[in-house]
Amino acid sequence: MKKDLSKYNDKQLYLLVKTGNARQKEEAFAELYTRYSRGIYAYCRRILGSEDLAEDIFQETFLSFLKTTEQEREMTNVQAFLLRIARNLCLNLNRQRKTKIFSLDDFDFGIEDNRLEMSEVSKIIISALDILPEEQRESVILQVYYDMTYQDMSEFLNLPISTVRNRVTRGKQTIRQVLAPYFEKTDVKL
Amino acid sequence: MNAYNESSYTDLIYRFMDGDTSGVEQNVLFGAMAKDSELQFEFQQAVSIYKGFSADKVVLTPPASLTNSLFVSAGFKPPMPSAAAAKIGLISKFRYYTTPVLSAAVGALVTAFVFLGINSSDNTGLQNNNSSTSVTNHHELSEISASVIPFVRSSEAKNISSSNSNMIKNEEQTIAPMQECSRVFSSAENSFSLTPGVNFTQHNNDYSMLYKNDNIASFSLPEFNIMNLEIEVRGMTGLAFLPSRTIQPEPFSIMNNMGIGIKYKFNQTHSAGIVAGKESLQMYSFNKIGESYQYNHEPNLSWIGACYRWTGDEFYGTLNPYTEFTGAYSQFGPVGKATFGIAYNPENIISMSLGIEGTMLTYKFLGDLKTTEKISVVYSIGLHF
Repeated sequence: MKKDLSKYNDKQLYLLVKTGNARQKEEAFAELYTRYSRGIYAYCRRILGSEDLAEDIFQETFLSFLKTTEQEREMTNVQAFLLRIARNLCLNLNRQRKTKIFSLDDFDFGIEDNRLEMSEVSKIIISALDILPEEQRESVILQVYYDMTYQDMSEFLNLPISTVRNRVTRGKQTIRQVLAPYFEKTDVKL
Repeated sequence: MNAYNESSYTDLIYRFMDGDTSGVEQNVLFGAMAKDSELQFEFQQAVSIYKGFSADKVVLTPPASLTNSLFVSAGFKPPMPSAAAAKIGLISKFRYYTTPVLSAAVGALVTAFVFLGINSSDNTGLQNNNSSTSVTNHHELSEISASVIPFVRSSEAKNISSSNSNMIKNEEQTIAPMQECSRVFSSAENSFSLTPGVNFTQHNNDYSMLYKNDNIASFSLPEFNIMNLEIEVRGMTGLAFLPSRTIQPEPFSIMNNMGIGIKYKFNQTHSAGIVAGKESLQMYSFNKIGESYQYNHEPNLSWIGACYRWTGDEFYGTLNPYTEFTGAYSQFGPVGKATFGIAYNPENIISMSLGIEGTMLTYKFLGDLKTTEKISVVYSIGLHF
């Protein structure tokens, strides 16, 4: 009979992936995937911008995670561990490719309609993310897309909470500056 | 003394949106906003940004193909993607059966035409035979006989029939066609006298040989199976796939799930030959366009190989049990087939069969040897030469 693995905590699931039989391993991996795939995917998409690259890194993240289960290691935080793998892969990739540097002048969407749909706001926000300094962008993404608290981010990035908070706030303020012209000449449907 | 400046209020707005403000800080923020319209506008913008992020977050989910690809790469069974499940609708299911239903219909039409064609040509032959031989001469014969010889057996003469290859011949009168004549009608001459001085000659036709000639009395079908060959066209409809996966229906492909073979019949029981076909099996594949690994239908799996068929004794008249084994090669690897079924053989020239077939394909994927199996219903029509 199939166990309800949704009641298992991450550590138990990781142990099953590591030491369980083929079926247990598969089911435990599927449960962890269900829990964290959305966050990892969103993080990759927004950090890398490109859908194709994000999918590659996303896949590589989970495959690397599986490989680590073959090693002897103590798992304390699966969520952070997965994110760390994804982050390292993204950082490596970003170092390799030449990223275009955007400026505020790049943002003119030519919106004529004075009613801005939320999907359009989303598009502008996503584009505005690209002009943020790397550390601000990552902090905003971790907070918004990965649902991390400042405390979590502080531990994950190994930075003081105040620094993390400051980065998120500055990042959002920059986004607001990008959006300001549209907010002024349009009504946003909230 | 107010410890907050404009920058601090902005920070408070975003921290409030993030749920990171204490009760005191919230009071300070809303107190300031009540007096400052700029701060209100800034708050409104922050809410818009928050909602924009939320809207974006909702749509950011890993695609089903990516999930499947990842699980396959990890060596796991791909989970059922909800998007794929939604596509398996009624229309798709109907489309899934289009090919086998069409091929069955075409098979039935071909069978009907061939069967009707054979019967039609037989009847035509029969009519020709009758028309040309329906004792066109028997009236003449009987008239002659009756007028000349009162004792002639006119009733018997009326019963005479012959084929094109026959003739009626007697000493005084010959019934055409003479040239084609090979036998049959002989007459014996009996002479007797009714009146002294007058001799009558009675022509006593002996038609008994008519009944000894098979070509005259029966209309057997022409001899087929001279070469002991059979050409068989078959359709294959997948009933179950192993390992069990729920995936999207295969894309429609002309001539898919069909096969053709030519077999030599050593005798009534054993035959062997060459077969080729195209069908779909579920297998792992690599999608170059999306650069992803997937488990799906491979609709253009073409194979060619050799087969052996054992046919059992007839039962219920024209039904024969049969079993067939096929070894073939496809572009992905070797294919093995075992079929069990019943063949219906209503005429020497034509046969139809219905059976259950198991198919196994062995193929390489990511360096590993994998197998995929299918159980199908097979239906075929065969022409014998």
